[in-house]
Amino acid sequence: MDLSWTEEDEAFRAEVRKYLEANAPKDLPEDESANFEARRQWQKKLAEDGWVAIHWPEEFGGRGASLLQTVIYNEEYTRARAPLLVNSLGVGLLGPTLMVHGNDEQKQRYLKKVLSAEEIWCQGFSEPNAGSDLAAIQTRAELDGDEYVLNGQKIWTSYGKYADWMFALVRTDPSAPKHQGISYLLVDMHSPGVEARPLKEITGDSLFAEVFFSDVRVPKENLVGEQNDGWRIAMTTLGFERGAGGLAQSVRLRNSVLDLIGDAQKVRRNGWTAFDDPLSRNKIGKWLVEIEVYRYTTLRAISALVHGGSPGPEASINKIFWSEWHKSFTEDAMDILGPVGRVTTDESGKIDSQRWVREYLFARAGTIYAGTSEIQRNIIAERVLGLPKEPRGDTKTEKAGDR
Amino acid sequence: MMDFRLNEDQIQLQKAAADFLSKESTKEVVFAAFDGENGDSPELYKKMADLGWLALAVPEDQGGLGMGLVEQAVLLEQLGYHAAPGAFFTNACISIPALLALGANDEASAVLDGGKKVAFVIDPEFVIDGHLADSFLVTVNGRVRLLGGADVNVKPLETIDGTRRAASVEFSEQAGEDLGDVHAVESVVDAATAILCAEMVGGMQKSLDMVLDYVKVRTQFGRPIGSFQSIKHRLADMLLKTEASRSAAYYAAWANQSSAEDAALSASVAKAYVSDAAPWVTGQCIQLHGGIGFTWEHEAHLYFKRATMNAALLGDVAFHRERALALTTQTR
Repeated sequence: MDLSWTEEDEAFRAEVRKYLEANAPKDLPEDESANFEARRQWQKKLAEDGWVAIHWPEEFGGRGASLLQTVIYNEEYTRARAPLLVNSLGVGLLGPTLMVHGNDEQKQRYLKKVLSAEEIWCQGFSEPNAGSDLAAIQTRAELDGDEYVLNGQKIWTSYGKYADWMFALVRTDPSAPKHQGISYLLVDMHSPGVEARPLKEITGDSLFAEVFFSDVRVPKENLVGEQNDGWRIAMTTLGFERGAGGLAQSVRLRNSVLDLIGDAQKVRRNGWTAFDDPLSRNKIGKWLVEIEVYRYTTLRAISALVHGGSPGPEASINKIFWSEWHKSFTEDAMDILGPVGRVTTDESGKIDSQRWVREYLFARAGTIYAGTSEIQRNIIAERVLGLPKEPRGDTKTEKAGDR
Repeated sequence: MMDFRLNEDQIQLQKAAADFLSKESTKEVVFAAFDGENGDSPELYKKMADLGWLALAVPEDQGGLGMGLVEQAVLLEQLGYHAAPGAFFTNACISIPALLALGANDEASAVLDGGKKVAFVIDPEFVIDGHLADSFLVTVNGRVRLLGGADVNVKPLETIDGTRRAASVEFSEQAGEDLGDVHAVESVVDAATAILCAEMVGGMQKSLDMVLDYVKVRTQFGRPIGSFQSIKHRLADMLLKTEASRSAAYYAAWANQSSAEDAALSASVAKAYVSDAAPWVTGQCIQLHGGIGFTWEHEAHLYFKRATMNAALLGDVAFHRERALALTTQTR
C-alpha cells in the first residue's frame, strides 16, 4: 500500500494546473444559449492546445495519457472550476466506443470533430418505457435499401436541443429475445423527421429533451458494429461512464461543502451565524467527513484500475455513495441557510441562494440518471454479493443485462 | 505510486492472523470472556504476545518486528472480525507507542513481551482496559506521568461490551514519574484512532458475512429471503458502508504511517465515519437474522456491542466531525 504520487505525477499535475490557471474562462454568461456557445469555444481552444480527451490515443487527437494522468487531469480541471465540457458525451462515451467497435471510416469521419466540439453529440438510450429496463427499447429501425428508417421516441436526452448527432440504440429485430434485436446507430439530428422538444425540469432549466423520430432515414454505413449486436456495444459505452471521473467528482462535491462553509458565515440565524451554530457545524462536519471518505474510496477504485483490475459492479457502490451524499448534503444546506437560502430573486443578498436552490433541486436527478439508486442496489446485491435474483415478469430475458 | 492494495507480506500477515484467530479466538473463547470475571482471555493475550504481535509496529532496534501502521490495521481488522477479547488494542496501539514516543523504553519493553499492561488515561472516569492494567499513563497540566498500580485507586467498570471493559481511576497529581510533554503522544492517539477504525471494520465485515450466509439459506414464502428486494437493498447498503469504512481506516493508517499532511484529518474522518457506520451495520445483522438474532447465544450482539463501545472511544462522531471541520477551515 502506497498512496503517494510520483515525481512524474506531480510534474504533470503542475503542468495541467498552470495551463488551466492561464486559460480556463471565468464568469461564463448566465444565458443558456450564450453559455453553451462560450463552452463550445472553450472546448475548441482546449482541443487546439491538445488538452481535451488526453486519454485518447495520439492518432485520434489525444495524448495517449495513462489512467493516472487522466485522473490527475480531471481532478485539476475540477479544482480550477473550469466549465463543464460541452461535448462530454462525445468525448466520454461515443469516442471511446467508436475506437473499440467503429470501422476506420467512422473513426476518421467523427472523432476529430468530437474533440473540437464542431459536432455536438447526445445519447439516445432511454425511452419512455425503457428506463432501468434499458433492453426494453422500442424505437424501430427497418432496413429499406441502403437506409434504415427510424420511428420512435427517446427521452432524457442531455444536450438534445443542441446536438448535431445522436448515438442511439434501436430495435432492428423485434422477434428476437430483447437483448439480441438491438443495434447501435449514429443519427444525424438535422435529418428530416427528427424533432427535439426541450423538457422543462424541476429546476426550471431545460437540460434534457425528448427526441421524436418519424420516418427518419439513416444511411446503412452509420451502423456501428454488426446489426443486432448493439446491446454488447452499449455495454462498452456504459463501461466508460464509470471511468476516471470519480476523483474529480469528489473535488466538485467538496467544493460545494467549502462554498457552504463560506455562505453559512454570512447568514445570521438565532442570534449567531449559521456557521457558529453547533447543530449546523455538526452537519457540515458530517458532509465534509463523508466526502473525504468518498475521495479515499475513489483512490482505491483508481488503484484497482491502474493495477489491472476492473471497477466492475463495484462502480455501483460509488454511484450510490456520491448521488445519495449529494441529495442529503443539499437538504442539510437548505436547512442551514434557512429562509434566505430559499430566495430565488437575482441579486437578493449576501449569498447566491439561487445557486443553492438549483443545486438542491438538481441533486434529485443524481439518484435517477445513469441507473437509479434502486437498480444500483440490485446490481450490488446480485453481482457483488451473489444474492438470488427476484422472479421476473418478462420471460424473454435470457441474461442479466439491465443497468 | 498510487497503490491501495495490500502487498504480499501484508496479505500473508492477514492470512496468518485469520488462521490463528479462527482457532484461538473462537466463539467459545469470546463468550467465556464476555461472561467471565473481567472480560479478558489471558491465554489468548499470552499467545499473541509470543507471536510478537504486540511489537508488530515497533522498530526492530527497539525490540519490535519493524512493521508499520498498515500492518497493524491488517492485524486489528482480524482481531475485530474474531471479536478478540482483552487489552491487546490498548497496549499494542496506544501504550507501547506512547511509552516509546516518551522515551520510556524499558517500560515499553516490559509491555512488549506481554508481561505487563499499561493503560492510557484520557478521562479518569472511564479508562479503557484500566481494570487489567499494572501501570497508568496520565496527563497532568500538559505533562505525561507514569504511575504504578500502588499510586492509583482503580474501580472496575462493567460495560455494554463484556469483552472490552474499563475502570475509573483516582490518583494524586504528584504521584509517579514525569515522562514528558503531552505533544509527544498526539500523533500516537491519531494513529491509534485509525487502527481502532480497522478493528471496527473487522466487526462490520463479520456481521455482513453472517447475514449473507443466513439470507441465502433462510426460506420464507417459498423463497430464500435474500431474493427479496428489501433485504437485498439493505445488504447493498451494508456493503457500501463496510467498504467505505475500510477505505477510510486504511487511508488513515497509511497517512499516519507516512506522516502525510492530512494525517490528523484522515484519523478524524475515519473515526467520525466508521463510528456512525459500524453500529448501523452490526445492528442490521441483528435485524436481518430476525428473532434468532436477538438471542444471547447468537454472535450478532457481540459485534453490535463492540461497535457501540468503540464508537465512543478516542472521540465520538460529534467530536471528530467538529475536529475535521476545524482542521479543514484552519488550512484553507
